[in-house]
Amino acid sequence: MSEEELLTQHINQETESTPQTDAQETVLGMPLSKETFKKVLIKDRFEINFDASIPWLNNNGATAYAVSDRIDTARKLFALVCDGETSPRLSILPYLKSIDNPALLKLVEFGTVCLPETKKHRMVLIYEMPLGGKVFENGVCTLDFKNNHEKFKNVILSFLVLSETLKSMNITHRAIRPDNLYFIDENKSEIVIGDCIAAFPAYYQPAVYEAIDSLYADKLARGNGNEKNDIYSIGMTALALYVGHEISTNITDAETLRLKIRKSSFSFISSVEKIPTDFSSLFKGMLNDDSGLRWGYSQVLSFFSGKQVSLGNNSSSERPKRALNIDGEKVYMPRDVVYSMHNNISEAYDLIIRGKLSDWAKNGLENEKLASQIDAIVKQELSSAGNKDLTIARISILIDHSLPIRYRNISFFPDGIAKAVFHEMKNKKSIKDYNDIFSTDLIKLWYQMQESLRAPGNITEFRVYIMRSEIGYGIERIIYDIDNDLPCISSLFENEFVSSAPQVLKALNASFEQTNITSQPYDRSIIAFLRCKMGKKIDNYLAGLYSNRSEIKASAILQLYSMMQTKFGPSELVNLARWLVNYCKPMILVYHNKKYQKYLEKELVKIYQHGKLYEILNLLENEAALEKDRNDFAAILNEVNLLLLEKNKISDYMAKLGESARASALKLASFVSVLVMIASFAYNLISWVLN
Amino acid sequence: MMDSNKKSGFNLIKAVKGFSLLQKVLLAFFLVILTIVSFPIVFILIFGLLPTITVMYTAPDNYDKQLIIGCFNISGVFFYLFGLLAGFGEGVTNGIADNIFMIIVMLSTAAIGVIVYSELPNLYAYIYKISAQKRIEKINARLEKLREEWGEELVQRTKSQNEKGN
Repeated sequence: MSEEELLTQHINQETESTPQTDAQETVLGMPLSKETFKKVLIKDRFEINFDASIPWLNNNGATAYAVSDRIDTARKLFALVCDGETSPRLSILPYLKSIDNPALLKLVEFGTVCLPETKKHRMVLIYEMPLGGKVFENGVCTLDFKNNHEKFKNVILSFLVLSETLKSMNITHRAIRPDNLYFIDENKSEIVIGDCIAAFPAYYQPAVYEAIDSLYADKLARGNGNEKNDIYSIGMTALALYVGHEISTNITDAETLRLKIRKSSFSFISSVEKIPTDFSSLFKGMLNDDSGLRWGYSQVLSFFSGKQVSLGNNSSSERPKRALNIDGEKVYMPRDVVYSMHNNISEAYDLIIRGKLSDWAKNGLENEKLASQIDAIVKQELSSAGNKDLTIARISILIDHSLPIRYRNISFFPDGIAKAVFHEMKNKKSIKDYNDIFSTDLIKLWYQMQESLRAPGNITEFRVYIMRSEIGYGIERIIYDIDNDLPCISSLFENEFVSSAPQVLKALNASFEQTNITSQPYDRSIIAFLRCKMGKKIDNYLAGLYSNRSEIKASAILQLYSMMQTKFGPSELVNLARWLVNYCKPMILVYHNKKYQKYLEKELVKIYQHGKLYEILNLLENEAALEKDRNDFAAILNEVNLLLLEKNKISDYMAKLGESARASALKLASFVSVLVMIASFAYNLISWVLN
Repeated sequence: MMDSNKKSGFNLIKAVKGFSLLQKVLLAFFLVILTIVSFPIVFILIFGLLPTITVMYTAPDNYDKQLIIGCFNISGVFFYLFGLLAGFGEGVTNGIADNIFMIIVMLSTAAIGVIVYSELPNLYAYIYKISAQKRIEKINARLEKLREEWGEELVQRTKSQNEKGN
């Protein structure tokens, strides 16, 4: 079963509201705040009490509520209701539900829920209740690890085992930090790491706990990263556990980044916290800024076993012989150079054009290949209309490809850009720069430089998608193509949570029920989402949507939704049917016969109440009726043509009636007069003969 | 078209002018002989056909007028021409000349011709107009019915087709 099918199967459940019952007063002795007065049932088993929020379990932007299990009533659970700020990491849900790791808070169930107060649908994650509470209370560790090295060792190793487990599933946690640690048991003997699904990867991570490469990216676009990112966070969290409090620097994220780049993470943290000499190597290894040299489980295990573990050293970490002077400051290391270039675009561009950067690459880094690549870009730049941002972004990738791509004010990892675009679109912000990025070859170049990462199969099509203005293409198509985490963000169902194709129809149906929408029952987001989730097989339907003719568009969307209802259900979509009946009026006008049109209108009013879209389709696209209408119309057209010709002829004749009538009348009169003369002659002749 | 096909009337003066001198002398001689030999007939013809002769003189190019008035006039003259043949040489000519009723009959047939010539076209146009209007009304009624049943598009499309055809 595919990841998406698994997800769909889990999410497609009914929710229902039940009357209020007595709310719990406390959870683990901690007070509950009273906010709403409803309970909602998930999967006929887990009852979320919106009357009892649990603020101390709020995490990653999600709000925690008490949950009771109707089957296993003794089981202690809580629910995290995701906010609408970001989006939950849908693609890893089935994996995390299947994991039983002692270092990870157990995800028991997940689904969508309609919030009783706002009536908005949100993803809800049901976790096992950490009975021992939080490890850090008000920023202070409740357990002394300084004097309990064995415990400290076990905790770190358990976290690293978790990291290895996640790696084996090709997923990352990206939310490892002190305030996301809990004691799972009442004895406070086992520490677990909490939720990592409720928000974008590393979105809520403080700057201190993120490695330089991740920190360098916008927090919206940090991407899933790899296990090395988690190890860095584990290292920093371990330090917080050891020193007994959360590591707080009181400096901005940008300054934290600058200092980490300038000094290295370990030196930076050494200046903030006193590193115990016994564990100096451990933290140095786990906080190594070169992810390739960062320690993993085996090195840490060796360290705790008392073995000598190399901190590693390679040519890239050596300081180059020559420096580059940017903004009055001498910078030596590639990462430093990239950072300084982006902070001084004009000066950096000048250095590039004057060949200084190429010289530094050749003589400082002693990297002839890089120098020639820079020269090629400069040559290309000089022969075309210059684009400073693009040039610097390209060269930055060549200098240090471990860093995210930075273009203008956007810094992103390619696997995180979709989430950033999603966020900006959802908040109705400008996405022009993102459009520009997809029009360039930056992402392709970045992937080409990576040794262990493969580019998405359709990366070469991004530019085509951006250039095509038809519905189903554009940036919407790209974000849903890249990222399986993203729900559909159509403005037609802002209150719904749509994470799979089958949910689209339900969401549209619910939206129309709440507000009588008059617009068309689809938009760019929906079509792009469906194209990504359902693949090429819907291309035939989409072709109709490119038409300028409203009846063809209506027919295409009716066919698509009808097919989806037949395939995915539900069997009744009364509101959507009503919406489509309104939208498909141009299809009625395809029939020429007015009586038949009225008949169709009456029938549609009856049919939509069944909520079956195929019935509407069959009625409107009845081939026999269409054929008969066409034939009748052709015959009538012919008749009208003849009538109009005759009418025109008569009208023309009447216009010159005076003249022609006179001529005709004179002919008649002449004929009559000759007859009269002959009659007179004959009469007189006969009379004469008889006499 | 009508003008080019229009026959010009018999132009008596032009015809006579077109004759050569010999032809004119011969014609005059022939007429004199004819008058002497059959004076009553010639008298009736000249007297009875005065309206026609007048039209031939006043409207030499109007063939229709000459034909209609002439035919009607002759049909009136026939009554007396055959009466003359029945009692030839009995002083009929005087009788006719004395009989005002006979003169009125001959001239009134010419008058009927005048009336037919001048009023028949109007009557004809009137009758045709009435008939055409009735047909157009019928066509409009049918079109309206079709429009109600098939929509305005039907008529518009046909009109545009006709316009293209024109």
